[in-house]
Amino acid sequence: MFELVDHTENINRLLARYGVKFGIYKNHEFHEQLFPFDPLPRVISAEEFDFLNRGLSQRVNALNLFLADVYSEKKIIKDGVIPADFVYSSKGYLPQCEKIVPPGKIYSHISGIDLVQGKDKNWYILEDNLRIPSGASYPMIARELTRRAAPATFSRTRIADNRNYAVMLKETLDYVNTGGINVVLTPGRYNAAFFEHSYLAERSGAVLAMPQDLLVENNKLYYRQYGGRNLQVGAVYRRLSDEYLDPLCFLPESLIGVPGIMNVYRSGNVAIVNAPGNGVADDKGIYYFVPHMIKYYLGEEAILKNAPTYLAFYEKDREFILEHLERLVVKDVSEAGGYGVIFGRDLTKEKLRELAEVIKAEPRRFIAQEVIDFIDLGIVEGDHEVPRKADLRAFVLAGKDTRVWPSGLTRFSRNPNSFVVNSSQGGGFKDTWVLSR
Amino acid sequence: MELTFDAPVAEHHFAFRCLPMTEGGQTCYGLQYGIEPSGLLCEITDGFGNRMCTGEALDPHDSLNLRAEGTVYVDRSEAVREELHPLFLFPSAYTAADESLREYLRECRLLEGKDGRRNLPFCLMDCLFRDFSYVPGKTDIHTTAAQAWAGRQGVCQDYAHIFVTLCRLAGYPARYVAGMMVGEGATHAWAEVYIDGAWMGFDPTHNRLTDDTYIKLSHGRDFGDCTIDRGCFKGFASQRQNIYVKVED
Repeated sequence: MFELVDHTENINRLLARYGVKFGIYKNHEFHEQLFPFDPLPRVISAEEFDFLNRGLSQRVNALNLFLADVYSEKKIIKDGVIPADFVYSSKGYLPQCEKIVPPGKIYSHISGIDLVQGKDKNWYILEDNLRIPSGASYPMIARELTRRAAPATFSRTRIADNRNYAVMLKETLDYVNTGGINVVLTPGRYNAAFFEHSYLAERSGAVLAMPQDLLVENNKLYYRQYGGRNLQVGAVYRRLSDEYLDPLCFLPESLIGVPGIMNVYRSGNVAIVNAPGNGVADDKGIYYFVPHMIKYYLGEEAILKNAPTYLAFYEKDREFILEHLERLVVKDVSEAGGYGVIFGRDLTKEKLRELAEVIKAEPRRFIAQEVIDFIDLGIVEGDHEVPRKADLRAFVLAGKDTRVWPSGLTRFSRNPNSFVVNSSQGGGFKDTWVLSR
Repeated sequence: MELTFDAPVAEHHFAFRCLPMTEGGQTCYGLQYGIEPSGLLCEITDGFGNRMCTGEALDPHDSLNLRAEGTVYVDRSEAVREELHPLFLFPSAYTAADESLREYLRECRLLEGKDGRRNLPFCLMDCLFRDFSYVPGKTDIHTTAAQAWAGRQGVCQDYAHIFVTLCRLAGYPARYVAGMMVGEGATHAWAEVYIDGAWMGFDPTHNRLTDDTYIKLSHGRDFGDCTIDRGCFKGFASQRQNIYVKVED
């Protein structure tokens, strides 16, 4: 794989030309930055992948059952496994989605589960992303380009082809499609992941639609064709968030939504991928309860572990957090994208005291986790290989069955002292190779 | 209901919550409704169980009328027991309490059980009726409970919001109700409190429990879930909404 190193610059130049960029909003300004690619892949053996596949599928199956339960019977709350507080005061819980049964009863069709491998070789789940996890397109196109740059590498090493993501995505959409075409709905050119929207649409044979291309008529959803007949839409892989999706149902001031789409969805006339309302299950507070969900719904022990987590909401946990604040990482449950993550060890005594006060005042808002000493992966810097912290976003697709894509997005921190790998925080990415038997 | 626009609009999508529901002690019969300009309407039940009538008028128009007629049989003499959705215990956009409302709840609590007053919701209704004045024009549809309380004046929507806020704060599940009363005029708003396994209607604007002269259109966390008309259209126009209600006993 080291022969790839010589092609680094070339590949990065091509990625830039294809538009593999990351847009971020900072201080209300839109900045686009390159998403730097490192040529050395993360390599996962077939046995290890098999294990991850079982653990991740189990987790996503339980999360889907949880979502179905929360929006219908709420058994898990009645049985006291999860306190009502964590569901109903979560921003992600949308009462507008009550009693909707999505096609195929699937809520999280495409899940992005972030994990890290500790120095003890154990994998730990860091967070679940069940709304619109992005990033699958980056390793896809990187693989495409590296294969072209160094074809011999890929004939010598037996690596599972990750370009099948498009097929997996299409199968997932087709499975829930209620009759009509598949579309990828993008908010537009200035979205952080616009490259991904267009790439996935092109690869999966779906139509890339802007909000104004879609129209609700007589409780059905249509795609407007220029100068022609409107086409009925059976599945929408939407890449805009719940609150902007339908001004008739959520934020009335949304200009990028499709008016009436929620009613079409409620009537069972279109599938929305992922289902609106999933935010209630990938809340950092709910994360704590996922192993309990697995036991409750599946009667199994969780195959993959959570990072050891304490919930400030519980008095016993809160005391523990306040006592060990300097060694824990504290996360604000309402923030995403690496924002609102505080490492106790980086704080002065005074700041620690301030944080403790905030936690005491609003315990529901915070979780604290043990800092996992996760393994470093080598990245190329100049002529050297240097170790950097890296995580893995695995993509789990749920349709007829639940499967993990044999690849994933490996993100690394470019800062040697940082554990935060989010692309919005300036990290880079690697391809993830899953070896075939 | 009549929506008028000062300039033509097109691609008008709407969701109306203005059809009497069948639930609790209320049953709706033989409802006939239609819109002008004519178009197809769909009927859907929303997440709260409200009847919603949705549709679109795509061609340019400067008014949209919905006319609905029917019979509603109301008998609230017996409490209808139903399961509680825990959601109604938590604050919502319009019903987040501030320090002033918390303080007010503490004051009201002192009166609980005194002077022959019954449990807390009754007591809250009494106090609110005494301390808040019905004055139209001081608040609008965006006013929250805390804002309305700060001015001590408002309309039925504000009474209902403040009452719901106080009940939830005190641990009583409560919901906002939009509906109509016998007579002619506009719509009305009140609240329901979940007591002993059933929803009980409180009308804080009139300081009384609801009876068979109240017809429910919708309920939810607050006004935001019960808007009679939610719509969006293309066109540079402002919209006026007129609601005409006639209920005969």
